[in-house]
Order: sequence, then structure tokens, then C-alpha cells
Amino acid sequence: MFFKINFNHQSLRSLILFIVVFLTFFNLFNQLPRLFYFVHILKTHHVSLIGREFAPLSPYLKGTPTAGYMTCLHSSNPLIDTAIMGPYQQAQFVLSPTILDYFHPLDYRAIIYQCPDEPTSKQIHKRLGPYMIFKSFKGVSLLFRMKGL
Amino acid sequence: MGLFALLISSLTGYFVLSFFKNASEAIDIMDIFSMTGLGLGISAQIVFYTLLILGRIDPMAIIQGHLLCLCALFILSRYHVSRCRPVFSFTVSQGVSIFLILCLVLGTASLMAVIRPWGDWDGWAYWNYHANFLFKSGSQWQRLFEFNIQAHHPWMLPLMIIWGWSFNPVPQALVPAVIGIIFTIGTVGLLIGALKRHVSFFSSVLGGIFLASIPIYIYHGTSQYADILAAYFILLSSVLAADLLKAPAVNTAVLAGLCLGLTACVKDNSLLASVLLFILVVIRLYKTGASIFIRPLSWGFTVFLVSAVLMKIFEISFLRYNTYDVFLPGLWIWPKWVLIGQFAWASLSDLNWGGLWLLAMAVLILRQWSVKEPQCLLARFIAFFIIFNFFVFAASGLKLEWLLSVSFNRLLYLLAPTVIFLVFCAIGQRE
Repeated sequence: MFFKINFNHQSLRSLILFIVVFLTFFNLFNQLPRLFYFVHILKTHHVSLIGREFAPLSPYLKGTPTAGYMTCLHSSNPLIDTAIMGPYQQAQFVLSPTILDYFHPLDYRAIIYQCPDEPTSKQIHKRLGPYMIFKSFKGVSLLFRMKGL
Repeated sequence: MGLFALLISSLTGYFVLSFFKNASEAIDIMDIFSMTGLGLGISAQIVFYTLLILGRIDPMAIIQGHLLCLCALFILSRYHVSRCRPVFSFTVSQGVSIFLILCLVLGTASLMAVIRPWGDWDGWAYWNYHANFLFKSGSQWQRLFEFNIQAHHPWMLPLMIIWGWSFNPVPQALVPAVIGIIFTIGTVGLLIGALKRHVSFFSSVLGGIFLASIPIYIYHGTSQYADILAAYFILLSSVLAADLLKAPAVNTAVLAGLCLGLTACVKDNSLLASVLLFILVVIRLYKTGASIFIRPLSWGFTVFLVSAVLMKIFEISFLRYNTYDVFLPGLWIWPKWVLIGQFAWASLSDLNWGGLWLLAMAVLILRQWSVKEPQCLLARFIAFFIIFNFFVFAASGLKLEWLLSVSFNRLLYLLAPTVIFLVFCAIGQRE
């Protein structure tokens, strides 16, 4: 597996040491623009809060072990689609310990519905039957279904 | 992290380490950077068993459990004959140099952590969510495992976060961020300390700086993922395993076993790594006629492996909806292996890794090692670990391109400190 090259030669060891030092400085210099960028972000941007559009729903879900989660977005592979999984996992994080069921949302009385398009949202609401609705922002709403389970 | 929590964990780690050191051994740099990680790992275990005994997370019980453990360790250390002297094996100038380097790493890490208070995607969506759920769910904590996208790795990081939250009833973003920073700095310090035992001080510091300079290292370390914990514990276990093979001793065997057990509790990858390394070390001990050290190593390994096994049992027992599929017949679809090979080759030369892996391969090929060198075993461990993970990628039912794009770099990240340790040992060791 190993070539029988004698590594005793100081020059070979020095060569590899030189390569390591070069790579270290190369990496450090490459990091500097990135570091300045982060400092710039810190000075100019507000730190974003995870799932802030779902946070107002939290008091209404206290004591609810599981709720459904629906979205009007479609994907051939939703588990790896960030447009779908992003809001879902943010909702999950903010509303825990309530578990949000993405795969069987209609099995529960409480359903969180996320849809930025208002007309589509209203059509889906009609299909879910009578409900009480609590609206947050960015197209997020919490529906408590009266019947139809 | 709560200052008290960190102090208690560090003291716990110190007493455990001093229990296994001989009276003639002074405290070196590696001891200083391993006591905090070891202590936090043990704290996670205490939180886990408190959860099992009481059936829920009780902050007061967790604090009492820690104080009880600390008292027991303190009493044991007073009666233990071979406790170490409080003497340091490094000079003031060496200490100051390392301190300055770590201050630079701390500044960069803190900046990156402040911008992402809840970490990157998996940081808040998985690890912090896991901790949040356990902290708030009371006796219903088993429901976390109903969907396997919510929890399918061992729980060391979430349990550490809960330990930090025990001193404050409201979960804060500060605790997971500080844990990320501690382990990011700790891994650099641990690498420097580990290298200092084998090569010159200059080479050891260069190794630490090289690790910190890898563009992805600090950013990923402060993303609040468990990868930095896994990298830390894999490095610690590897170094202790190499020490055990070089100079077998019962104390070293038990300590190496304990660290291997803690490594198993971090992630599924590190569980695989710890079992693989354990098997390779046992085989080597047997072949070199040092099989009397296999039993203490096994005992040490079992102590914490038990909790990792229990965590996996809970994960399987409480699962209701399986969202992942593993297609073993899909294992031998050759286009999958071609794709894995392409990703592997691209990563070898990726500037993110500074050509680290090509350099490591070059060093391994050029270095004339006899089979008795303990570092040879670590090289074999790294090779086998990567190959095993290739099989895991090929067997997964998830889309392979996506899986490789999110997982391959993390796999290399886990091993980077250990690879750097091998490379610098090869460069710095005299014939």
C-alpha cells in the first residue's frame, strides 16, 4: 500500500511543511472578505427571528398535542423542498411541544394553513368545512374545524 | 451557557481526568481542553438518566444530580492514590501563544454566532427543536419520536442544551450558541494539545491554526449542529486510542473507552465511528499481545454506549410515521457509486478543505510507516469510516444528489481534525 520512499529526507518534509503553511495563509486571506461581510451584516441588518409569523398562534395551541399542517405549495419531493420544509420546520420549532403533522393534516381538529396567495387560501378554507379562524401574517392561519374529522 | 453549568461540567471533567492520571504526570494542554468536553458529555448523560428516572425533564433534579455527582467525584479524588499534581507541563510563553490564537478564533466564532442566534437550518429545526421539545413537553417527551424527521440521532447535544437551560426557566438562544463556540475553540485547543504530545510546539500550533483556517470550520462549528461535537469526540477518542496502543495502561484503556462511549452518543455517524474504532483497537491490542487491556477498554466503552443504545431503542419504539426508506437492493446500482465517486473526488480538491485530503493522501503514501505505528490504525479507521458511509449513502432511499450535497461535507468535517493530527504527526515526527 505504501511506496518505499524514504521519508527521512529533510527536503521532502520541508516541502510538505511549506505546502501546509502556504495553504494556511491562502485560507486565512480567503476568509478576510467573508469576515468583513459578516461585520457588515451585523451593522446593517436586523437579526431574523425564526418562525415569527407562527409565534402569534402559540397561545391558541397550548395543550394541543398534535395539529395538522397544510400548505398550498406543491412539490414532487416535499421533504427536500426548502420552500415547503422551511416554513413547516419553523412552525414546528416555534409551536413545540405541539407536533405538526404534515403527512396527515386532515386527521386533526386544529390545522395550520400556510399560503401566501389569498384567493387560493379562501378556496381551501371552504373545503375544510365550518371552522374558527385565527389569522397571523404572511398568509399563516390557524383553523379549528367544527366537524368533518 | 449558564456560567454555573459550565463551571460544574468543567469541574466534573477535571475530577474524572485526574482520576485516570498518574501522580507523575503533569497537566498538559490536551488535559485542559478535554476536561470541558468530557464534563459536558457527562452532564448530558446525567440529564438523560434524570429524564429516564423521573419520566420528565426537571431542572431542579438535574442540578441536584450534578451536584451529587460532583461531590462523589471530589470525595473519590481525595482518596485516590494516584491523583496528579497541579503542575503544568507547558511554559508561560507557550500558554500565552495558544491563548492569543484561541482569542482570535473566539472573536471570529462569536461574530458568526451572533448573526445566527438560533444557528443554521438543522441547528434550530433539529437540534434546538429536540431540546425545546424535551424541555417543554413534560411527561409526553416520547412523542418527539413519532416522526423520524424530528429525532433520529442520539441526543447528546440536546441534552447539553437542556443542562444549560436548567438554571433559567425560559429557553434562550444563548446556550446552544455558547456550546457551539466552546466546542469550536475546544477542538482547536485539543488538536494543539494532542499534537504537542508527539511533535514540536511549533508544529502543534501550526496544526491548530491550519484547522481554524479551513473556511468551513468556524462557520459550521457555530451553526449549532452536532458535527463539531462529533469532530471533537472523534479526535479525543482517536488520540487516546493511539496513546493506548503506544503505551498500554489500564487507566488509558478505561479513559479511551469512556470517550469512545461518549462519541457514540453524539450522532449516528459518530456512533458508527466509535464502534469501528473500538473494533480496530481491540484487534490491534489482541495482535500485539496486550489483550489484558481489552476488558478495561470494553468496560469504559459500555458505560456510555448503553445510553446511546437506549436512545436508539426509544427512537425505534416510539416511531409512528416512517418518512425515510432504506433500499438495500438499491445498494448496488452502479450510477449511484459513480456519483459518490464524483463527489468524493470533487471534495478532495475543494478549496474549502485547502486540498487537505490530497495532502493527507500524499503524506500517507510518502511516509514509510511500519505496521506497528498506532497512527496507521487511525489512517485505517478513517478509510473504513468513509467507505462505510459510502454504503450508507448508496443504501438510502433519499435523492442521492441532495443527500451527498448536504451530508458529504459534514462527513469530511467530522474527520478533519483527526486527519490534521495524522498529517502533522507524520510531518513532525523524527525517525
